[in-house]
Parts: sequence; structure tokens; C-alpha cells
Amino acid sequence: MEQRRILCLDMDAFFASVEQATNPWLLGKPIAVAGSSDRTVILSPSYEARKHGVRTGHTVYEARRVCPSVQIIHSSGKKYTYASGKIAEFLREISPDTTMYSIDEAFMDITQTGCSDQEIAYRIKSWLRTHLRVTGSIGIASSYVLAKMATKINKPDGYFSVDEEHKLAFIDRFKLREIWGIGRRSARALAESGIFTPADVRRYGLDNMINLFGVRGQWVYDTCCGLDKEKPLPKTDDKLKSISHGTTTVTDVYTENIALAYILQLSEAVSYRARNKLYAGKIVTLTVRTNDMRTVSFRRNLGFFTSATHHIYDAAKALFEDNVTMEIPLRHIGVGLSELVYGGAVLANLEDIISGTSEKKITLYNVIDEINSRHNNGLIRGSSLGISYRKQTVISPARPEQQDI
Amino acid sequence: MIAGFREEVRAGAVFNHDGIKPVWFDLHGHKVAIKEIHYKWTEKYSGSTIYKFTVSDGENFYELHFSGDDMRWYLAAMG
Repeated sequence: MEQRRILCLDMDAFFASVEQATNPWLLGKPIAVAGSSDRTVILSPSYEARKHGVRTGHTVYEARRVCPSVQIIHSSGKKYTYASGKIAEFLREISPDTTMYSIDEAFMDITQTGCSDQEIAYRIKSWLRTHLRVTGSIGIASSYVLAKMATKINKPDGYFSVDEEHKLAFIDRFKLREIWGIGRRSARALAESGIFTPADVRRYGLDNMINLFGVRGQWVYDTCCGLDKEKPLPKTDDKLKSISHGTTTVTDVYTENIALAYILQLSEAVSYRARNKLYAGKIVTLTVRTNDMRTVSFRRNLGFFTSATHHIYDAAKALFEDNVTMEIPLRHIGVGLSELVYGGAVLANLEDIISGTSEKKITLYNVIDEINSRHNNGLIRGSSLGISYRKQTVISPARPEQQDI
Repeated sequence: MIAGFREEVRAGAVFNHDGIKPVWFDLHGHKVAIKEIHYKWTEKYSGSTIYKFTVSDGENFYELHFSGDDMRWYLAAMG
């Protein structure tokens, strides 16, 4: 039987590279792509900036502290989406079995292409350089996890192919925590059972792993044997588990009124997406981060499914009033809706029906959505004391292939 | 590569349901045929939409802007 070959393409500092490719002033300079306000975090530092210690997740202040010459570029989602769409189009010419896992990562089954690993990697790298002027790292192996981990070797612009004979030696180079898909918590749970390395997992055996960790135990065992078969699901909106929006506030928030204004606009953003994608949920989550960087989340079960702003806002407001004292100013606020069901937007509950306001509310939402879809999403929003929650410019990895110009 | 300027240029483009596709532009009396559009994206300035393109003629790269407001083309970078 032909040995399966999986290729993983992981773009190098994708957002920063695209910015450098489209703006010659930025070539060779330490730059970092960040969200739309100075208080947001770094999403993608260029390799020049990384050399100075700038990392993804740094605040803009931290980035400037470690590298005073770093140029902060506000993210331009449409540019990255365009590039990602072009990459997907090209990869599908090589193998129709291509999955864009996120905006800057793709998996391809190249078993049937009839070309060698090196030939395909060379073709992809040449195309990226010529057409988009960016680079990506390629890993090839017989399983998805190994291919993904192989992209980390020789990054940036790397290539690493794991041959079948040496795959266990390759896996054993990593600690369990470093294996793609095994998080900190799983690694801790395994360590508590005396399992620290992939070799320990194999020694422990499949039956014991299943007894101890269930289905997850099987996945960990298969992965440590290089046998994982399941294609990683792309990060898409197809099977949403939650819808959330968060924003780092323009300045620290000291008063309840201002915080509630943000919460209203975030609730509207969550509701708009839920309505648009025909989802309803019943758990509302409020997340706040204080300016000493402590983050706390609170959740409330509504007891009914909804997609409506007024339900989400009422729950988030109650969570805020019950739990947040405003003793320490806030720098980040987020609102989320989870336990989603797909099939239609729910805009009124029993209370709305009894009070006779359900029809008015449904008409109002429909009019808002109609106007927003005709003009620019977000043109009509809830009034909120003049505070404008700026639509996030951070692109979601969920929609890598949309283009609109 | 030179960037950071904004020079109005004459350009030929196809406008259809796929969007805007610049085909050529005039650079100081010399017609540059666009062989490839590498990137295209939009940006908003004070409510106006600017369509931006990174293109090449097979040899050099150029950044072209099309203003949806005054329907004019601008060259913003070349090299």
C-alpha cells in the first residue's frame, strides 16, 4: 500500500510578511502587526523584530520597550484574506485534498500527486516567493500532527520531511507539551500519571491510555506512534461553539457607564454575527481584564436560546453589575455567547411575546440587518453614550478564503 | 524601491462582477502592461474607499491606488 504523505504549510510571520511585501518601506525593518489601537497586542512580529525580542502577544508598550525602533502596523484583514485565498487556490491545483486550517496554515494530502516531497515543497515555495513575495515553512510526514510539527524545524522558510523509518525518533525529540494538540493541561494530567515523554506513552500502552484518558488517551497514543489519522478540522464558522467579541479599550475604563457602553456595543456585535449565521445560544459570558492585566470571566445561563442583542446585553449587564466593582480600571472587555444551536436566529423570548414587544423587536432587528447588509456592516448600531466600539480589524482565522474586491 | 509618493497616472482597467482589474498604466509617457496582480485590498480614509493593488510588469513592482471618490488612479510605490 502506498504510504500516505501529508504536507503542512505554515506561513512565516504571515501578517508581517504580507505587510512587507506590499509596502517597500517596511522591507528588512523590524515591524509588528497589531490590532487597531495602541493598547492592543502584537499579532505578528516580523523576523527582524523577533531578533530584538518582540513576540506575539506582547503589548505595543512591551514591543517598543524591547525594540524601540519597531514599527507598529495596524492589521489589514482584507490583505491577508486575499493572500490566503490565493494560496488556497494554488494549493488546490496541486492537490484537491487541501484544507485551509487557518488563514496561514494548510494541510494537503499529497499521496496521489505522483511527485516527490521535495518537488512539491519546491513548487510551493517558488510560487509563494514569485507571486506573493512571502515565505512559508513546509513539513511533510505520514500524519497530520507530525507534518505540523515538522514545519517548526528550520523555520522560517524551512522544509523538513519525516520519513517513515525515522518517525518515532522524530517524535521523541519533543516533550509531550510540545506535541501539537497536547495542551498544558493534558501534559499535566499525563505527568501526574508518570507519563512525561512520547516514549512513556508508547510504553504505557494503548489499553492503559484508554482506561485512563478515554478517547483522548487513544488520540495521544496514536499521535505518539505517528499514527494519527484524523484530518484537523479547519477553524471555520461551520460548527461554531461560541461567538465572542472583545476589545481593548481606547483608554482605561473607570466608570460603570462607559463599561456598559462597551458591553452594549459588544453585545450588538455578538448578536449581529449570531443572527447572520443563524445561531442562537443560551450561555452569556462577560470577560474583563483590569489594567493590572488580571482577567476574569463570568457566565450566566439564560435558560432559553437567543440571538438578540437585548437578551445578551441584559445578561452581560447583570453579570457586570453583580461581579465587577470598578475598583481597578478596566482595559479589556469581552462578551460571548455559547452553547450554540444552528438553524435560525431567535430574536424574542416568552417574556417579549407576553409583553407584546416581540414583533416590534423582530422588525427592528430585520431593519437593522437589512440596512447594515446594504451599506456597511455596523452602520446601524445600538446607541451607547457616544462610545464607539471600533469594529475589530483583527481577522478571524475562520474565513481565510473570502475576498470582496 | 521608491515609495511614499502619490502620483496621478492614466490607467486602463476592467471593472466587472469580479471587481477591479488594472491592466495597464502610463508612467511618464511609457505604457506599463500589468502582468500580474499580486495583492489587492481596500482601505478607508475619511469614509472614502481606496482600492489598492500591488502589481508587476514581470520585472518591476508597483503599488497602484484607485480612489472610489474621484475615480482616479495613483501610483504610490515602484521598484
